[in-house]
Amino acid sequence: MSSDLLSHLTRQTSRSGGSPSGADNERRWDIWLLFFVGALVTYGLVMLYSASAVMASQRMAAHNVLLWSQTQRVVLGVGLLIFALQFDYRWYKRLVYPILLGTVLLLVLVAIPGVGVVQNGARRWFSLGGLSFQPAEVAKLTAVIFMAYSVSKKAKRMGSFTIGFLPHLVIIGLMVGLLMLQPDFGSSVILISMMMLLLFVSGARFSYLLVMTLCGAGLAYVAISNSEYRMKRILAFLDPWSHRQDIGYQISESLIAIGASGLSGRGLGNGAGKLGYVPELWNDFIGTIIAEELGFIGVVVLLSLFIGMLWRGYRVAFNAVDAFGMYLAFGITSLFALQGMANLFVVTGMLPTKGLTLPFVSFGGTSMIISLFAIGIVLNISRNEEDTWEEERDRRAARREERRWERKRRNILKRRDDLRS
Amino acid sequence: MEHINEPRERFWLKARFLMVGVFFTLGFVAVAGRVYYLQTVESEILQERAAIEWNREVVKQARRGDIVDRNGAELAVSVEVPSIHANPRRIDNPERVARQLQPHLKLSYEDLVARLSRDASFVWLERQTRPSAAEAIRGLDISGVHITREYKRYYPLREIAGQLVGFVGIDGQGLEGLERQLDRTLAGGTYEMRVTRDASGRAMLLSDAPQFGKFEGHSVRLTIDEKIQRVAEQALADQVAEFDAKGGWAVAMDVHTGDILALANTPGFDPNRFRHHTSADWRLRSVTDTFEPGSVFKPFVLAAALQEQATSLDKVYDIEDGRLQIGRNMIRDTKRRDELTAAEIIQVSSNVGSYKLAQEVGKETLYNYIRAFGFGQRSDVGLRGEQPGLVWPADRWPEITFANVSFGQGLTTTPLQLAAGTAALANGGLLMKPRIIDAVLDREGNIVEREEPTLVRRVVSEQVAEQVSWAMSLVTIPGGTGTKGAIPHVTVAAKTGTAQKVNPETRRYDPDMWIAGFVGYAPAEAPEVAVVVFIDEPQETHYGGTVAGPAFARITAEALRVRGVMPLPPGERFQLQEEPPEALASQAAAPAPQHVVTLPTMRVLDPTEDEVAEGQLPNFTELTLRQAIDRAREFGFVPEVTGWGRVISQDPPPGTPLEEVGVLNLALAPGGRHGMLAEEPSAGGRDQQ
Repeated sequence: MSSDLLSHLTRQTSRSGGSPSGADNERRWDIWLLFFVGALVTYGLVMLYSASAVMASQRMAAHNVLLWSQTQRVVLGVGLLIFALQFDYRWYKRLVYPILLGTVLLLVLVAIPGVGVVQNGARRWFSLGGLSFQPAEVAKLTAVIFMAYSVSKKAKRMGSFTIGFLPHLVIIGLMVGLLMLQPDFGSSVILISMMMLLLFVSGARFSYLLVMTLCGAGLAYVAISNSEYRMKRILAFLDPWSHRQDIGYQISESLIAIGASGLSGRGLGNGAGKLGYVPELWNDFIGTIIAEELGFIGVVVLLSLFIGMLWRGYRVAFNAVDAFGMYLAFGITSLFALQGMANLFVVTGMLPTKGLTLPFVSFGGTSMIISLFAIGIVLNISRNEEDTWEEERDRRAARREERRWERKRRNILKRRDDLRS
Repeated sequence: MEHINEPRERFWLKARFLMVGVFFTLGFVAVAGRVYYLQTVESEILQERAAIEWNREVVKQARRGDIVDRNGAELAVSVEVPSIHANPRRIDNPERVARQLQPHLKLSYEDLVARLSRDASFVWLERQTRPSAAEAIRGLDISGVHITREYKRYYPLREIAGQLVGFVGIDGQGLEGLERQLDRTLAGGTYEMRVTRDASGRAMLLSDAPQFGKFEGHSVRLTIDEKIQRVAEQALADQVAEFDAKGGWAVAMDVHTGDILALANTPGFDPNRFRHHTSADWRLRSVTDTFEPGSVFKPFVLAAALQEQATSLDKVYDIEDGRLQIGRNMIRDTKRRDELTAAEIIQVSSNVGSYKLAQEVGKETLYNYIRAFGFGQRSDVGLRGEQPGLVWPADRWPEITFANVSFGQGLTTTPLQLAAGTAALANGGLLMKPRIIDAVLDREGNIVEREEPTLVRRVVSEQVAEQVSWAMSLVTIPGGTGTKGAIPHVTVAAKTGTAQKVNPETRRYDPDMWIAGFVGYAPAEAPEVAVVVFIDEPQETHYGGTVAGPAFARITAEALRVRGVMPLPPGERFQLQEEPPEALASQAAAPAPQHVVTLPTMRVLDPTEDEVAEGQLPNFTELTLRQAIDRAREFGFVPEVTGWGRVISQDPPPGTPLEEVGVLNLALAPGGRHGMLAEEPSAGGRDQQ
């Protein structure tokens, strides 16, 4: 019943939107996915303002500096979303190697001192005329595109190690290596997790995955124990209260803000965490202010929106017309779900602090733009259009042949006329 | 879809999708569960932690009330100033912060680093600093360094009445003087507020702001007149400097009300810089120090003798050539004479004569009079550390002590007691309780509490008081010991004193240690102000008339001028060149001293307080010229004035509607309420009986 209503609504909306596909009007894009994402973005803007107004009015030009900046990014992101919605996703498959090359170039560039901007002890940013740009966000999407392309191409050969496993490990490993130069441990973990997820779904051998998980855990252990900074983060995670004065400060304050407000929350705008207690409240810890001000209900709404997005995203994947579309929709949706989950785990003290944003909600330009663009891709997949490029391959060839024959005919006729004259 | 067409493949694919989806969903549910757990089970513990961190009990001290003189001139005020403090736990790099702050603070770089490195969450960097420094530091915007506003006590008149006013500590607690004594009145309350603070410690008032007004400290209006006080201190300082003395005290008092108009001590003391003075300088010596008054005590002996009808002003006494042997001791006068009248004993300050007068009264009776004049007991003026002085009971007086007491040795008193006693002589024999606090005022200037002038008792009759005044007036005319205390055009009743001091080391009278004294009042015929001046341990010369007299004259003249007392017309002044007038010389048939306990008296100080109907011309009668002009100005007139002194009549009469007044004519005549206007019903204290 409800799905009937949904499809009805979807049809109506896209019809009134005046879809340009004309005769192919049967293929709607998934407006519910757009609804969930739009709700998340709106929710984020509201909470972002609540979280940042105090800080912005004290340290910046005006109380709404962050809100305005984020709104600009959202507008830019929506522009990209509309573009992606119209742009046949199969082109990413065709252009996967240039995309991969471009991403690697960006990651190399950002690692060069003087090009990349150091912030909070990590070289993660480009600064382009006031706009900061984070290649790691691009790398996540690129990894998903590459994995979707690769696993859909290899299909039944996924069970083999050399074909189904090793190439992914090499390519993703290269990107992870570049990310760790910054260093960006959080994004690296996301990249590897995404690879594992896609390998798992596409039917790679379970034993390989298990071995790799163990190896990854070993590597992570080495990475952690080699860095005092990460070690402290783990310690702070295990016992935030005894590290409250230094590394555990943020998480302790976050827990206090969430817990002390009670189930009903303090009410929108009434939170105390924003008074400088929870650092980066508008960024990685936006979940804290949602829980603090809107209480348990606010958190449930947030989680419902994410689950809704997950559901619609996977539905698009199921109904995709080809394997690449399926894996791509699955990958992108999973990427957001994974990041959202990891971020909220950090905020609630269930994972060590990693520096991951909450997609669509947190303040953060690159993340917002790329995320909206990626959702545009999923929406494009949801249109379930035939691969006109492939379908028309024969017709194109026929047309070319026909044109050739036409030219030939004209030449013959011309020659005949010449002979006649 | 080439590879997922087989149903088995498709089933497993779907299953794996589902597994991942369930995994994420469970993850999100876990987040919800965790938040639920935090907000219910852990909530209480976290709330406690939050309360410790976010909330703060702010105890705010009310603004301290002012201390003002009788005319509202500010002696002590509180001003809001910034104070700089820091939270060292929030400062990562003390060296850098110290370098940034140092140019704006008094602390040295090393001290700053030490303070900023301390393991505490609160340290003062500089309290009550300059606003410009605070502004500069605010501009630096260093996290962990904060600015709060505190009240700082400021004494605009600096050393004027310094000891009297006292001072407060840096937290606004009264430490000395009136500041300490009236601490509870001045300080007001404290209000406690629960505020939320932000991470850098700034407090935010959320709601329920208390009514600050209720907590404000009250102001206190003193009876001191800043102008008289200033002159008194200057005059004392000049005399002390001239005679290289150790110090000096002066008290000026309104004789009718007991209002202390000036309470001066030298060396002076600036409460703004109390740390630069020793604690000895903080003492209000005119109240806390006792000494043997010396000859200035003689008028009280004369008053007792007159009241007991044991003598009269023209009764002649054998002075025995200024030498009188009493047992193993001898009392002597400075000049040898054979005979003196009772009045002349006062005039030339004869010790032998005074002893003869005392003998007329008798030990027990004299003792009672001394007590009745307020000696040997605290006046309860309400000043901390007031000393009662020491008067031995008469049954413990050997003959030599009796003789000594008759000229002011062998008993101790404070300058304030002497002023009050002298004022009693001036006030027609009525002893008023000294009054230092006039009223307690709230923030808007409304009177919260008023201390009325209090009559302690009648000591001698009005006639006796006037006879003593006549005798004392002889002191300041040629032939008297106190000619330097004379004031032109005004008869001054006075008595000089040159008291011997006991050397604290030898415990004997020291021939080089003296207290030069000068007590008196003016005008002698209708006294208004009594003034006592003592110079402690003057060098070179030590005679009271010479050392203290000039200061007395300056203070008294200033007090008369400030109080608007005009010279009396010649006809009403004492004729001192002649024998005592009949009325005075005759044995006064006065009533015996009544020991009245308290009787509040209230003198109408300013006739302008009379109610004036709206739109009508007020009564100018009895105003001085200046008061009359000021008053007329309020109503938009410039009066035409004839004569001098006080207003005796006006045209048009009081009560005339203002619009009908064309030109205001005022006729003035010299003379106070005692003379021409004696029958006026508004006269106070002395005319009351």
